[in-house]
Amino acid sequence: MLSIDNVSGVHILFPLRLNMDEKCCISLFIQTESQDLNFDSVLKLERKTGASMSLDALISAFQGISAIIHSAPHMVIARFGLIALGILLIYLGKKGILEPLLMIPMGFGMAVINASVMCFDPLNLHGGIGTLFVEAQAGAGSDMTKNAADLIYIMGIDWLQPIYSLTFSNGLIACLIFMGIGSLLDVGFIMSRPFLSIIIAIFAELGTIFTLPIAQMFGYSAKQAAAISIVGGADGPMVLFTSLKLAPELFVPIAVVAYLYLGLAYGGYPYLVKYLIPSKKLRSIEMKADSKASKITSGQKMAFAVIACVILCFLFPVAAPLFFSLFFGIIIRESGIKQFQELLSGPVLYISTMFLGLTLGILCESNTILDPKVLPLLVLGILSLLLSGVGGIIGGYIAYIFTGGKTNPVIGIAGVSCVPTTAKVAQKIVQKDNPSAIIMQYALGANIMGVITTAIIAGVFCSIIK
Amino acid sequence: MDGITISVMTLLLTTVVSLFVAVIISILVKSLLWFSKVNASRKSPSTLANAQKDDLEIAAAIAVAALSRRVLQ
Repeated sequence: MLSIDNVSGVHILFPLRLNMDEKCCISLFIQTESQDLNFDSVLKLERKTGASMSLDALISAFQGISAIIHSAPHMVIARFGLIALGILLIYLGKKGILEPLLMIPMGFGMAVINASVMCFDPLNLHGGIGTLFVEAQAGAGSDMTKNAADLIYIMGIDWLQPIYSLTFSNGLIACLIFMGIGSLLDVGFIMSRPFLSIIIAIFAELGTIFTLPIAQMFGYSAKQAAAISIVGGADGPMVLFTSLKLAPELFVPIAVVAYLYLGLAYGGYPYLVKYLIPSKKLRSIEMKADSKASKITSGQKMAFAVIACVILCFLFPVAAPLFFSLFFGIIIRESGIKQFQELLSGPVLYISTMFLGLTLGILCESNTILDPKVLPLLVLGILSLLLSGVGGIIGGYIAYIFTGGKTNPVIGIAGVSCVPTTAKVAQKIVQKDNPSAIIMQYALGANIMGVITTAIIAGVFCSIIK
Repeated sequence: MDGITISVMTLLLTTVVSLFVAVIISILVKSLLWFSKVNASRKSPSTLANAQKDDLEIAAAIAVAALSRRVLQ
Protein backbone atom coordinates (compact mmCIF):
# COMPACT_ATOMS: atom_id res chain seq x y z
CA MET A 1 0.00 0.00 0.00
CA LEU A 2 1.34 3.41 -0.81
CA SER A 3 0.65 6.53 1.10
CA ILE A 4 2.12 9.99 1.04
CA ASP A 5 3.27 11.97 3.97
CA ASN A 6 5.08 15.19 3.22
CA VAL A 7 7.08 14.91 6.43
CA SER A 8 8.13 11.31 6.47
CA GLY A 9 7.95 10.56 2.79
CA VAL A 10 6.30 7.96 0.65
CA HIS A 11 5.77 4.50 2.02
CA ILE A 12 4.91 1.50 -0.09
CA LEU A 13 4.22 -1.81 1.55
CA PHE A 14 2.97 -4.78 -0.39
CA PRO A 15 3.37 -8.53 -0.07
CA LEU A 16 5.67 -10.03 -2.65
CA ARG A 17 4.88 -13.68 -2.10
CA LEU A 18 2.67 -15.64 0.26
CA ASN A 19 2.93 -19.30 1.08
CA MET A 20 2.12 -21.59 3.97
CA ASP A 21 5.27 -20.98 5.97
CA GLU A 22 6.42 -17.59 5.07
CA LYS A 23 5.09 -14.19 4.34
CA CYS A 24 7.48 -12.03 2.43
CA CYS A 25 6.90 -8.33 2.41
CA ILE A 26 8.77 -5.73 0.48
CA SER A 27 8.77 -2.22 1.70
CA LEU A 28 9.93 0.65 -0.44
CA PHE A 29 10.70 3.69 1.56
CA ILE A 30 11.13 6.90 -0.38
CA GLN A 31 12.29 9.79 1.76
CA THR A 32 11.63 13.36 0.87
CA GLU A 33 14.20 15.98 1.70
CA SER A 34 11.97 18.93 1.08
CA GLN A 35 8.34 19.83 0.55
CA ASP A 36 8.64 19.62 -3.25
CA LEU A 37 9.22 15.85 -3.08
CA ASN A 38 12.89 15.60 -3.97
CA PHE A 39 13.04 11.82 -3.64
CA ASP A 40 15.89 9.89 -2.16
CA SER A 41 14.81 6.29 -2.34
CA VAL A 42 15.85 3.59 -0.01
CA LEU A 43 14.73 0.07 -0.58
CA LYS A 44 14.13 -1.90 2.53
CA LEU A 45 13.23 -5.56 2.48
CA GLU A 46 11.29 -6.92 5.37
CA ARG A 47 10.83 -10.57 5.99
CA LYS A 48 8.33 -11.74 8.47
CA THR A 49 7.95 -15.41 9.25
CA GLY A 50 5.54 -17.39 11.34
CA ALA A 51 1.89 -18.05 11.37
CA SER A 52 0.83 -14.48 12.18
CA MET A 53 -0.70 -13.83 8.80
CA SER A 54 -3.35 -11.24 9.53
CA LEU A 55 -6.43 -10.46 7.46
CA ASP A 56 -4.92 -7.05 6.67
CA ALA A 57 -1.91 -8.68 5.09
CA LEU A 58 -4.11 -11.00 3.08
CA ILE A 59 -6.20 -8.08 1.85
CA SER A 60 -3.12 -6.07 1.01
CA ALA A 61 -1.99 -8.95 -1.21
CA PHE A 62 -4.84 -7.98 -3.49
CA GLN A 63 -4.58 -4.24 -3.76
CA GLY A 64 -7.77 -3.96 -5.78
CA ILE A 65 -9.74 -5.39 -2.85
CA SER A 66 -8.01 -3.14 -0.34
CA ALA A 67 -8.80 -0.15 -2.59
CA ILE A 68 -12.49 -1.13 -2.53
CA ILE A 69 -12.42 -1.28 1.28
CA HIS A 70 -10.81 2.17 1.48
CA SER A 71 -13.15 3.73 -1.12
CA ALA A 72 -16.46 5.48 -0.60
CA PRO A 73 -19.43 3.24 -1.61
CA HIS A 74 -20.52 5.53 -4.47
CA MET A 75 -17.00 5.36 -5.91
CA VAL A 76 -17.02 1.57 -5.78
CA ILE A 77 -20.39 1.49 -7.57
CA ALA A 78 -19.09 3.95 -10.17
CA ARG A 79 -15.98 1.87 -10.74
CA PHE A 80 -17.94 -1.32 -11.33
CA GLY A 81 -20.37 0.64 -13.49
CA LEU A 82 -17.51 1.92 -15.62
CA ILE A 83 -15.96 -1.56 -15.89
CA ALA A 84 -19.34 -2.82 -17.13
CA LEU A 85 -19.64 0.15 -19.50
CA GLY A 86 -16.15 -0.57 -20.87
CA ILE A 87 -17.07 -4.19 -21.57
CA LEU A 88 -20.35 -3.05 -23.14
CA LEU A 89 -18.48 -0.61 -25.42
CA ILE A 90 -16.20 -3.44 -26.58
CA TYR A 91 -19.25 -5.62 -27.29
CA LEU A 92 -21.11 -2.85 -29.15
CA GLY A 93 -17.95 -1.98 -31.09
CA LYS A 94 -17.50 -5.61 -32.12
CA LYS A 95 -21.16 -5.81 -33.18
CA GLY A 96 -20.70 -2.66 -35.28
CA ILE A 97 -23.41 -0.77 -33.39
CA LEU A 98 -20.81 1.79 -32.20
CA GLU A 99 -17.66 2.88 -34.03
CA PRO A 100 -15.31 -0.07 -33.44
CA LEU A 101 -12.09 1.82 -34.26
CA LEU A 102 -12.54 4.00 -31.22
CA MET A 103 -14.85 2.05 -28.97
CA ILE A 104 -12.87 -1.18 -28.67
CA PRO A 105 -9.62 0.41 -27.40
CA MET A 106 -11.59 2.94 -25.35
CA GLY A 107 -13.80 0.29 -23.74
CA PHE A 108 -10.81 -1.89 -22.98
CA GLY A 109 -8.88 1.00 -21.42
CA MET A 110 -11.94 2.01 -19.38
CA ALA A 111 -12.52 -1.51 -18.03
CA VAL A 112 -8.86 -2.05 -17.18
CA ILE A 113 -8.18 1.31 -15.51
CA ASN A 114 -11.22 1.02 -13.26
CA ALA A 115 -10.17 -2.47 -12.28
CA SER A 116 -6.62 -1.40 -11.48
CA VAL A 117 -7.40 1.27 -8.92
CA MET A 118 -5.33 0.88 -5.77
CA CYS A 119 -4.36 2.69 -2.62
CA PHE A 120 -1.89 4.81 -4.49
CA ASP A 121 -2.14 8.49 -4.97
CA PRO A 122 0.97 10.62 -4.69
CA LEU A 123 -1.20 13.72 -5.03
CA ASN A 124 -3.54 12.57 -2.28
CA LEU A 125 -6.46 13.87 -4.33
CA HIS A 126 -9.09 11.24 -3.82
CA GLY A 127 -8.44 9.99 -0.33
CA GLY A 128 -5.31 8.20 -1.43
CA ILE A 129 -7.08 6.10 -4.08
CA GLY A 130 -5.65 6.32 -7.57
CA THR A 131 -4.00 4.65 -10.52
CA LEU A 132 -0.53 4.58 -12.00
CA PHE A 133 -1.76 6.98 -14.69
CA VAL A 134 -1.58 9.96 -12.39
CA GLU A 135 -0.92 13.03 -14.43
CA ALA A 136 -4.40 13.32 -15.79
CA GLN A 137 -6.22 13.09 -12.49
CA ALA A 138 -8.94 15.66 -12.21
CA GLY A 139 -8.08 18.56 -10.00
CA ALA A 140 -4.30 18.05 -10.21
CA GLY A 141 -2.49 21.37 -10.26
CA SER A 142 0.77 21.87 -12.12
CA ASP A 143 2.93 21.37 -9.00
CA MET A 144 1.11 18.19 -8.09
CA THR A 145 1.42 16.95 -11.64
CA LYS A 146 5.17 17.58 -11.50
CA ASN A 147 5.45 15.67 -8.24
CA ALA A 148 3.48 12.79 -9.73
CA ALA A 149 5.76 12.75 -12.77
CA ASP A 150 8.81 12.63 -10.46
CA LEU A 151 7.37 9.74 -8.52
CA ILE A 152 6.52 7.80 -11.66
CA TYR A 153 10.05 8.39 -12.94
CA ILE A 154 11.51 7.00 -9.72
CA MET A 155 9.23 4.00 -9.77
CA GLY A 156 10.13 3.34 -13.39
CA ILE A 157 6.55 2.84 -14.49
CA ASP A 158 5.78 5.04 -17.45
CA TRP A 159 3.21 2.91 -19.25
CA LEU A 160 1.08 5.22 -21.45
CA GLN A 161 2.43 8.37 -19.82
CA PRO A 162 4.83 9.20 -22.72
CA ILE A 163 2.00 8.76 -25.26
CA TYR A 164 -0.21 11.04 -23.16
CA SER A 165 2.47 13.68 -22.55
CA LEU A 166 4.06 13.75 -26.00
CA THR A 167 1.03 13.38 -28.25
CA PHE A 168 -2.21 13.81 -26.35
CA SER A 169 -1.81 16.70 -23.95
CA ASN A 170 -0.05 18.91 -26.51
CA GLY A 171 -2.65 18.43 -29.26
CA LEU A 172 -0.28 16.64 -31.64
CA ILE A 173 -2.57 13.61 -31.89
CA ALA A 174 -5.41 15.90 -33.02
CA CYS A 175 -3.27 17.27 -35.85
CA LEU A 176 -2.10 13.78 -36.89
CA ILE A 177 -5.68 12.51 -37.01
CA PHE A 178 -6.67 15.57 -39.02
CA MET A 179 -3.90 14.86 -41.55
CA GLY A 180 -5.17 11.29 -41.84
CA ILE A 181 -8.77 12.42 -42.21
CA GLY A 182 -7.74 15.03 -44.78
CA SER A 183 -6.04 12.35 -46.87
CA LEU A 184 -9.38 10.51 -47.07
CA LEU A 185 -11.54 13.52 -47.98
CA ASP A 186 -12.68 14.20 -51.50
CA VAL A 187 -13.31 17.94 -51.59
CA GLY A 188 -14.90 17.49 -55.00
CA PHE A 189 -18.19 16.92 -53.17
CA ILE A 190 -18.16 20.39 -51.59
CA MET A 191 -16.76 22.01 -54.70
CA SER A 192 -19.69 20.75 -56.77
CA ARG A 193 -22.37 21.98 -54.30
CA PRO A 194 -20.67 24.55 -52.04
CA PHE A 195 -23.76 26.49 -50.94
CA LEU A 196 -25.87 23.42 -50.14
CA SER A 197 -23.03 21.92 -48.06
CA ILE A 198 -22.37 25.19 -46.23
CA ILE A 199 -26.02 25.88 -45.34
CA ILE A 200 -26.42 22.40 -43.85
CA ALA A 201 -23.09 22.66 -42.02
CA ILE A 202 -23.97 26.04 -40.46
CA PHE A 203 -27.31 24.74 -39.18
CA ALA A 204 -25.56 21.69 -37.77
CA GLU A 205 -23.56 24.01 -35.50
CA LEU A 206 -26.73 24.83 -33.54
CA GLY A 207 -25.45 22.85 -30.55
CA THR A 208 -22.14 24.73 -30.47
CA ILE A 209 -23.88 28.12 -30.58
CA PHE A 210 -26.62 27.39 -28.03
CA THR A 211 -24.58 25.38 -25.53
CA LEU A 212 -22.13 28.23 -24.87
CA PRO A 213 -24.56 30.50 -22.96
CA ILE A 214 -26.14 27.45 -21.30
CA ALA A 215 -22.70 26.34 -20.06
CA GLN A 216 -22.14 29.81 -18.64
CA MET A 217 -25.37 29.41 -16.69
CA PHE A 218 -23.81 26.30 -15.13
CA GLY A 219 -21.08 28.56 -13.74
CA TYR A 220 -18.33 27.98 -16.27
CA SER A 221 -16.19 30.88 -17.51
CA ALA A 222 -16.53 32.08 -21.12
CA LYS A 223 -13.40 30.15 -22.16
CA GLN A 224 -14.52 26.97 -20.43
CA ALA A 225 -18.04 27.31 -21.86
CA ALA A 226 -16.63 27.73 -25.37
CA ALA A 227 -14.41 24.67 -24.95
CA ILE A 228 -17.42 22.65 -23.76
CA SER A 229 -19.75 23.88 -26.49
CA ILE A 230 -17.35 22.86 -29.29
CA VAL A 231 -18.40 19.26 -28.48
CA GLY A 232 -21.46 20.16 -30.60
CA GLY A 233 -19.13 20.43 -33.59
CA ALA A 234 -18.82 16.64 -33.22
CA ASP A 235 -15.20 16.68 -34.23
CA GLY A 236 -12.86 14.95 -31.80
CA PRO A 237 -9.56 16.55 -32.84
CA MET A 238 -11.22 19.98 -32.78
CA VAL A 239 -12.47 19.38 -29.22
CA LEU A 240 -8.96 18.37 -28.10
CA PHE A 241 -7.41 21.41 -29.73
CA THR A 242 -9.95 23.96 -28.50
CA SER A 243 -10.04 22.70 -24.92
CA LEU A 244 -6.23 22.75 -24.80
CA LYS A 245 -6.22 26.34 -26.05
CA LEU A 246 -9.12 27.70 -23.99
CA ALA A 247 -9.55 25.53 -20.90
CA PRO A 248 -6.54 23.26 -20.31
CA GLU A 249 -7.81 22.61 -16.76
CA LEU A 250 -10.89 20.91 -18.23
CA PHE A 251 -9.08 19.33 -21.16
CA VAL A 252 -9.23 15.74 -19.89
CA PRO A 253 -12.91 15.60 -18.87
CA ILE A 254 -14.05 17.48 -21.99
CA ALA A 255 -12.06 15.11 -24.25
CA VAL A 256 -13.41 12.05 -22.44
CA VAL A 257 -17.02 13.26 -22.58
CA ALA A 258 -16.72 14.33 -26.23
CA TYR A 259 -15.32 11.04 -27.47
CA LEU A 260 -17.67 8.99 -25.34
CA TYR A 261 -20.65 10.76 -26.87
CA LEU A 262 -19.20 10.81 -30.39
CA GLY A 263 -19.00 7.04 -30.19
CA LEU A 264 -22.57 6.88 -28.95
CA ALA A 265 -23.76 9.30 -31.68
CA TYR A 266 -23.13 6.56 -34.22
CA GLY A 267 -25.80 4.49 -32.50
CA GLY A 268 -28.04 7.35 -31.33
CA TYR A 269 -28.37 9.61 -34.40
CA PRO A 270 -30.42 7.11 -36.47
CA TYR A 271 -33.17 7.30 -33.82
CA LEU A 272 -33.01 11.11 -33.82
CA VAL A 273 -33.32 11.20 -37.62
CA LYS A 274 -36.27 8.80 -37.61
CA TYR A 275 -37.95 10.84 -34.90
CA LEU A 276 -37.46 14.18 -36.68
CA ILE A 277 -38.16 12.83 -40.18
CA PRO A 278 -41.02 10.42 -39.50
CA SER A 279 -42.16 10.25 -43.12
CA LYS A 280 -40.66 7.24 -44.91
CA LYS A 281 -41.42 9.02 -48.20
CA LEU A 282 -39.12 11.91 -47.27
CA ARG A 283 -36.37 9.59 -46.01
CA SER A 284 -36.36 7.62 -49.24
CA ILE A 285 -36.02 10.53 -51.68
CA GLU A 286 -33.53 9.58 -54.37
CA MET A 287 -30.92 12.16 -55.34
CA LYS A 288 -29.37 12.21 -58.80
CA ALA A 289 -25.74 11.13 -59.01
CA ASP A 290 -23.63 14.26 -58.83
CA SER A 291 -21.95 14.45 -62.22
CA LYS A 292 -20.31 17.80 -61.37
CA ALA A 293 -18.13 16.22 -58.67
CA SER A 294 -16.57 13.76 -61.08
CA LYS A 295 -15.67 16.56 -63.51
CA ILE A 296 -13.52 18.39 -60.94
CA THR A 297 -9.89 17.48 -61.47
CA SER A 298 -7.30 16.81 -58.78
CA GLY A 299 -5.50 20.03 -59.79
CA GLN A 300 -8.65 22.03 -59.12
CA LYS A 301 -9.10 20.33 -55.75
CA MET A 302 -5.49 21.11 -54.85
CA ALA A 303 -5.93 24.74 -55.88
CA PHE A 304 -9.02 24.99 -53.66
CA ALA A 305 -7.22 23.37 -50.71
CA VAL A 306 -4.23 25.72 -50.98
CA ILE A 307 -6.32 28.89 -51.38
CA ALA A 308 -8.86 27.97 -48.67
CA CYS A 309 -6.12 27.01 -46.21
CA VAL A 310 -4.13 30.20 -46.78
CA ILE A 311 -7.25 32.38 -46.39
CA LEU A 312 -8.45 30.57 -43.25
CA CYS A 313 -4.98 30.68 -41.68
CA PHE A 314 -4.80 34.38 -42.53
CA LEU A 315 -8.18 35.01 -40.84
CA PHE A 316 -7.63 32.73 -37.81
CA PRO A 317 -3.91 32.18 -37.18
CA VAL A 318 -4.70 30.62 -33.78
CA ALA A 319 -6.37 27.67 -35.47
CA ALA A 320 -3.69 27.43 -38.18
CA PRO A 321 -2.38 24.01 -36.97
CA LEU A 322 -5.86 22.55 -37.51
CA PHE A 323 -6.40 24.10 -40.94
CA PHE A 324 -2.86 23.20 -41.95
CA SER A 325 -3.22 19.55 -40.90
CA LEU A 326 -6.58 19.06 -42.59
CA PHE A 327 -5.67 20.74 -45.87
CA PHE A 328 -2.21 19.14 -45.91
CA GLY A 329 -3.96 15.75 -45.93
CA ILE A 330 -6.22 16.92 -48.78
CA ILE A 331 -3.26 18.24 -50.77
CA ILE A 332 -1.32 14.99 -50.32
CA ARG A 333 -4.38 13.03 -51.51
CA GLU A 334 -4.76 15.16 -54.62
CA SER A 335 -1.05 15.48 -55.35
CA GLY A 336 -0.90 11.84 -56.35
CA ILE A 337 2.05 11.05 -54.06
CA LYS A 338 0.83 7.55 -53.29
CA GLN A 339 3.47 6.80 -50.67
CA PHE A 340 2.52 9.85 -48.55
CA GLN A 341 -1.19 9.27 -49.01
CA GLU A 342 -0.89 5.64 -47.91
CA LEU A 343 1.22 6.73 -44.94
CA LEU A 344 -1.29 9.35 -43.78
CA SER A 345 -4.48 7.40 -44.45
CA GLY A 346 -3.03 4.16 -43.06
CA PRO A 347 -0.39 4.05 -40.31
CA VAL A 348 -0.61 7.70 -39.16
CA LEU A 349 -4.42 7.73 -38.92
CA TYR A 350 -4.86 4.29 -37.43
CA ILE A 351 -1.98 4.45 -34.93
CA SER A 352 -3.24 7.84 -33.74
CA THR A 353 -6.83 6.62 -33.50
CA MET A 354 -5.82 3.49 -31.60
CA PHE A 355 -3.74 5.36 -29.03
CA LEU A 356 -6.36 8.08 -28.78
CA GLY A 357 -9.04 5.51 -27.95
CA LEU A 358 -6.80 3.70 -25.51
CA THR A 359 -5.68 6.89 -23.73
CA LEU A 360 -9.25 8.17 -23.52
CA GLY A 361 -10.37 4.87 -22.03
CA ILE A 362 -7.57 5.07 -19.47
CA LEU A 363 -8.72 8.59 -18.59
CA CYS A 364 -12.27 7.35 -17.89
CA GLU A 365 -11.40 6.57 -14.31
CA SER A 366 -14.21 6.87 -11.75
CA ASN A 367 -12.47 9.70 -9.88
CA THR A 368 -12.31 11.76 -13.07
CA ILE A 369 -15.84 10.98 -14.21
CA LEU A 370 -17.41 11.63 -10.78
CA ASP A 371 -15.55 14.87 -10.20
CA PRO A 372 -18.11 17.60 -9.42
CA LYS A 373 -16.67 19.73 -12.24
CA VAL A 374 -17.21 16.92 -14.73
CA LEU A 375 -20.81 15.94 -14.01
CA PRO A 376 -22.38 19.04 -15.69
CA LEU A 377 -20.18 18.28 -18.71
CA LEU A 378 -22.00 14.99 -19.18
CA VAL A 379 -25.27 16.92 -19.51
CA LEU A 380 -23.84 19.75 -21.63
CA GLY A 381 -22.00 17.39 -23.97
CA ILE A 382 -25.08 15.38 -24.86
CA LEU A 383 -27.19 18.54 -25.10
CA SER A 384 -24.69 20.05 -27.50
CA LEU A 385 -24.63 16.99 -29.78
CA LEU A 386 -28.40 16.64 -29.62
CA LEU A 387 -28.94 20.28 -30.62
CA SER A 388 -26.42 19.96 -33.44
CA GLY A 389 -28.25 16.88 -34.72
CA VAL A 390 -31.56 18.77 -34.59
CA GLY A 391 -29.93 21.77 -36.33
CA GLY A 392 -28.55 19.52 -39.05
CA ILE A 393 -31.99 18.06 -39.74
CA ILE A 394 -33.47 21.60 -39.86
CA GLY A 395 -30.74 22.42 -42.41
CA GLY A 396 -31.75 19.30 -44.34
CA TYR A 397 -35.40 20.42 -44.38
CA ILE A 398 -34.39 23.90 -45.57
CA ALA A 399 -32.32 22.35 -48.37
CA TYR A 400 -35.32 20.14 -49.22
CA ILE A 401 -37.62 23.18 -49.49
CA PHE A 402 -35.16 25.36 -51.46
CA THR A 403 -34.35 22.62 -53.98
CA GLY A 404 -38.04 21.94 -54.60
CA GLY A 405 -38.08 18.57 -52.88
CA LYS A 406 -35.03 17.22 -54.70
CA THR A 407 -32.84 17.02 -51.59
CA ASN A 408 -33.24 14.23 -49.09
CA PRO A 409 -33.45 15.95 -45.66
CA VAL A 410 -31.58 13.03 -44.04
CA ILE A 411 -28.30 14.43 -45.41
CA GLY A 412 -28.72 17.18 -42.78
CA ILE A 413 -27.40 14.84 -40.10
CA ALA A 414 -24.14 14.56 -42.06
CA GLY A 415 -23.57 18.28 -41.47
CA VAL A 416 -22.73 17.39 -37.87
CA SER A 417 -19.14 16.78 -38.92
CA CYS A 418 -17.74 13.58 -37.32
CA VAL A 419 -16.26 12.49 -40.68
CA PRO A 420 -17.28 10.03 -42.08
CA THR A 421 -19.50 8.56 -39.36
CA THR A 422 -22.54 10.80 -39.82
CA ALA A 423 -22.38 10.48 -43.62
CA LYS A 424 -22.40 6.71 -43.20
CA VAL A 425 -25.33 7.03 -40.76
CA ALA A 426 -27.28 9.11 -43.32
CA GLN A 427 -26.62 6.62 -46.12
CA LYS A 428 -27.57 3.65 -43.91
CA ILE A 429 -30.90 5.24 -42.90
CA VAL A 430 -31.82 6.14 -46.47
CA GLN A 431 -30.79 2.77 -47.86
CA LYS A 432 -32.89 0.98 -45.27
CA ASP A 433 -36.02 2.75 -46.56
CA ASN A 434 -35.02 2.79 -50.23
CA PRO A 435 -32.23 0.37 -51.20
CA SER A 436 -31.66 2.11 -54.56
CA ALA A 437 -31.12 5.60 -53.07
CA ILE A 438 -27.50 6.76 -52.96
CA ILE A 439 -27.00 10.05 -51.11
CA MET A 440 -23.43 9.47 -49.94
CA GLN A 441 -21.89 12.10 -52.25
CA TYR A 442 -24.15 14.86 -50.95
CA ALA A 443 -23.81 13.66 -47.37
CA LEU A 444 -20.02 13.72 -47.65
CA GLY A 445 -20.16 17.29 -49.02
CA ALA A 446 -22.07 18.44 -45.93
CA ASN A 447 -19.85 16.29 -43.75
CA ILE A 448 -16.56 17.77 -44.99
CA MET A 449 -17.99 21.29 -44.82
CA GLY A 450 -19.00 20.49 -41.23
CA VAL A 451 -15.33 19.93 -40.39
CA ILE A 452 -14.32 23.21 -41.99
CA THR A 453 -17.17 25.11 -40.25
CA THR A 454 -16.21 23.65 -36.87
CA ALA A 455 -12.59 24.67 -37.49
CA ILE A 456 -13.80 28.20 -38.30
CA ILE A 457 -15.83 28.29 -35.07
CA ALA A 458 -12.79 27.05 -33.13
CA GLY A 459 -10.77 29.85 -34.72
CA VAL A 460 -13.46 32.43 -33.85
CA PHE A 461 -13.63 31.22 -30.23
CA CYS A 462 -9.86 31.31 -29.82
CA SER A 463 -9.71 34.80 -31.36
CA ILE A 464 -12.60 36.62 -29.66
CA ILE A 465 -12.59 35.09 -26.18
CA LYS A 466 -9.71 36.62 -24.25
CA MET B 1 -18.45 39.55 -22.97
CA ASP B 2 -21.43 37.37 -22.02
CA GLY B 3 -22.27 34.01 -23.55
CA ILE B 4 -25.13 35.22 -25.75
CA THR B 5 -22.97 37.98 -27.31
CA ILE B 6 -20.17 35.50 -27.99
CA SER B 7 -22.64 33.06 -29.55
CA VAL B 8 -24.21 35.70 -31.81
CA MET B 9 -20.78 37.01 -32.87
CA THR B 10 -19.56 33.48 -33.55
CA LEU B 11 -22.64 32.66 -35.60
CA LEU B 12 -22.30 35.83 -37.68
CA LEU B 13 -18.55 35.46 -38.24
CA THR B 14 -18.85 31.77 -39.07
CA THR B 15 -21.67 32.40 -41.54
CA VAL B 16 -19.80 35.23 -43.24
CA VAL B 17 -16.51 33.28 -43.48
CA SER B 18 -18.26 30.08 -44.63
CA LEU B 19 -20.17 31.95 -47.35
CA PHE B 20 -16.91 33.65 -48.33
CA VAL B 21 -15.33 30.19 -48.70
CA ALA B 22 -18.36 29.07 -50.76
CA VAL B 23 -18.01 32.10 -53.06
CA ILE B 24 -14.28 31.39 -53.48
CA ILE B 25 -15.06 27.76 -54.34
CA SER B 26 -17.64 28.83 -56.93
CA ILE B 27 -15.32 31.38 -58.53
CA LEU B 28 -12.45 28.90 -58.47
CA VAL B 29 -14.44 26.07 -60.03
CA LYS B 30 -15.91 28.35 -62.71
CA SER B 31 -12.57 29.93 -63.60
CA LEU B 32 -10.78 26.58 -63.67
CA LEU B 33 -13.50 25.10 -65.87
CA TRP B 34 -13.16 28.10 -68.18
CA PHE B 35 -9.38 27.60 -68.36
CA SER B 36 -9.77 23.91 -69.13
CA LYS B 37 -12.26 24.77 -71.91
CA VAL B 38 -9.85 27.32 -73.36
CA ASN B 39 -7.02 24.77 -73.22
CA ALA B 40 -9.19 22.14 -74.90
CA SER B 41 -10.03 24.50 -77.77
CA ARG B 42 -6.33 25.28 -78.17
CA LYS B 43 -5.39 21.60 -78.50
CA SER B 44 -2.72 21.47 -81.19
CA PRO B 45 -2.94 19.06 -84.11
CA SER B 46 0.22 17.40 -82.79
CA THR B 47 -1.68 16.36 -79.61
CA LEU B 48 -4.34 14.76 -81.77
CA ALA B 49 -1.66 13.12 -83.84
CA ASN B 50 -0.06 11.77 -80.67
CA ALA B 51 -3.41 10.37 -79.55
CA GLN B 52 -3.83 8.66 -82.92
CA LYS B 53 -0.27 7.35 -82.65
CA ASP B 54 -1.12 5.87 -79.22
CA ASP B 55 -4.19 4.18 -80.69
CA LEU B 56 -2.08 2.70 -83.47
CA GLU B 57 0.45 1.42 -80.95
CA ILE B 58 -2.30 -0.25 -78.90
CA ALA B 59 -3.76 -1.85 -82.04
CA ALA B 60 -0.29 -3.10 -82.98
CA ALA B 61 0.23 -4.57 -79.49
CA ILE B 62 -3.11 -6.41 -79.71
CA ALA B 63 -2.18 -7.78 -83.14
CA VAL B 64 1.19 -8.99 -81.82
CA ALA B 65 -0.49 -10.69 -78.86
CA ALA B 66 -3.00 -12.43 -81.18
CA LEU B 67 -0.19 -13.54 -83.46
CA SER B 68 1.91 -14.92 -80.60
CA ARG B 69 -1.11 -16.84 -79.26
CA ARG B 70 -1.65 -18.40 -82.69
CA VAL B 71 2.07 -19.33 -82.86
CA LEU B 72 1.84 -21.00 -79.43
CA GLN B 73 -1.20 -23.01 -80.49
